Amino acid sequence: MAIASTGDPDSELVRLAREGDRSAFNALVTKYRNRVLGIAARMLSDRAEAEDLAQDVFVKAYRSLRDFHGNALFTTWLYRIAANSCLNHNQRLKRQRRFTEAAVDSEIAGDGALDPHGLLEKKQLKALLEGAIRSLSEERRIVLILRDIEGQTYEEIAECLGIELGTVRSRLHRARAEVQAIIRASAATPKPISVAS
Amino acid sequence: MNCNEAKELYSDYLDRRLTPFQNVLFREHVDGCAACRQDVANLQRTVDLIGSLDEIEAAPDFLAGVERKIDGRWGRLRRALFEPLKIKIPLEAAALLLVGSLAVLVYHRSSDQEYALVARMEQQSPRATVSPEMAEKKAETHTDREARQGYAELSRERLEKKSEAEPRSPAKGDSLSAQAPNPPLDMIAPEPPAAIAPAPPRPATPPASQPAAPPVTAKPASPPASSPPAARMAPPAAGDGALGRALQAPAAKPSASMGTTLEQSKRVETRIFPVPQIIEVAADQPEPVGNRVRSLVPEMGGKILNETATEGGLTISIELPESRQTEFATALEKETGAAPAERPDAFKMPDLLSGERSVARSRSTEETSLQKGTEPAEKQDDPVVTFEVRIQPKK
Repeated sequence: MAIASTGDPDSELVRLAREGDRSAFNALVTKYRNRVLGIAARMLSDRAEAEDLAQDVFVKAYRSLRDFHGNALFTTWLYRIAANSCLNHNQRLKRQRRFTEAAVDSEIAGDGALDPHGLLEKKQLKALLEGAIRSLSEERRIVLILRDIEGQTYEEIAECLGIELGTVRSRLHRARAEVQAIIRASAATPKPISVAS
Repeated sequence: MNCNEAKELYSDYLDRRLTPFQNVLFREHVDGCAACRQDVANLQRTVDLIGSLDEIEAAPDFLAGVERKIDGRWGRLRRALFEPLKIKIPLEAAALLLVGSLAVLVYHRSSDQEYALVARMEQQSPRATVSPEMAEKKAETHTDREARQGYAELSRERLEKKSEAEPRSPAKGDSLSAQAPNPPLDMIAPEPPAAIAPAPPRPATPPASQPAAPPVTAKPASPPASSPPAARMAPPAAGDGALGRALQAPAAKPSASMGTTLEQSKRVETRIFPVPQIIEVAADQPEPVGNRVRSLVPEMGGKILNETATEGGLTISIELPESRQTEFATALEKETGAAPAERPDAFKMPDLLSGERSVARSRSTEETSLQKGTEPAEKQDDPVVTFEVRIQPKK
């Protein structure tokens, strides 16, 4: 079946890949590997696991290319595979070991303590943000990642995750509010000031 | 719109997801509420910060890992063989090549196995067909070590036999001419029985060195028991009837009257055929024994070839299935009425396959013989051996 022309910038590469052109598929992997890895790394706690999962996402995509008919953007389809893979992975992980929020909280508190005077180092702030994102529930986290990091539209997120638009809006709203609250709380926590005698 | 209602719309406002009506109400509230305005600004900053998070770089071997996972263990090799970018080897061509290679391999293997089988047969039976030259060649070239050894032994044996046979075979009447290769039986067949001249009588007296004569003695024509098997498998001496003469005809010089072709001559050189054996029977009255022979032979699935009256005795040429020769001799022996004590422990009979073989005259053997007597005598894979039964009056 021909790929529908939907203005997808990847449609030509996808068509060639569907016809068995491995180099075209490799080009797609090269183009989106960091973004898929970004989703995986923020959804999973372990970097090595994230990389492994990101590779698996592309393997699944390669084997499912025949099922991709171009009704959506390739990125939406790819992110859907990535999101589902991450969620499934975490569910399996949860069954195997208890994933405590406390561990994450302590990591955030340790890494992202704010300067009492609001002079946040950029690196500190990014570490704080990463911790805050990880502290979100999976449902909210994936919506936040897809929207604020990957720039997907509400509709694409809804299609990607198979949820309603209203659900996307509410989850995104909660996720942002939580992250903001975490940053605010960290900024309000005073660091001990050493007084020189 | 109050602050709580406005807070629910912060995110949608930032993403411009509010309806125009919601947007108007929201802007009215935020313009008049400094706290909400600050909150919206902070949220916008947070969203911007999230969006500015560094891209996570994949490892350099990320793509290679994906390819490994897609291709599996042999994928790279398969792709290297079958999926070059420009020239793709069709799978059908590869399959055809594989099938062809297998066919050649199987043919080669079966050919070797066939030669190995022939070599083993040769070791067990001198009547199989492998020339010394072929055996020598296979001893050098065969892929199977065991087969090579077999062929080497075979080659030595054949060459020895050939060297022994060659200088003697032309000498008609030579007592050792029996060791020469004999023409195949099918070469004898065309000669009409009428043309066979009566053989001059041959002294039936056993050699003086022979032990007290058992009633029935099957013995080699000339050499002593210590001779090699080939020497013991001796045909009758010259002049012992047409069959004997025909068998003594030099193998290398087949007569035209026998209808021998060049191809048959080659066969004579490379094949060894059974030679007639002599069974001597000493009887008070030869005729009843002769009658018994005449009746026994058809029973055993054999046939009478020729009968010659000798001085007071009788010589009957017979053909028997190889498997029945012992049975025949045993039955004939019984007919003579000799007690076992009068004879050696074993009844000795020349064997065409392994020289002289001792056949213990046990009850089980006799029983087996009786059972065999009921079977059809002529079997296609049962070779035929030729005997001369010489019945002489007791002296």
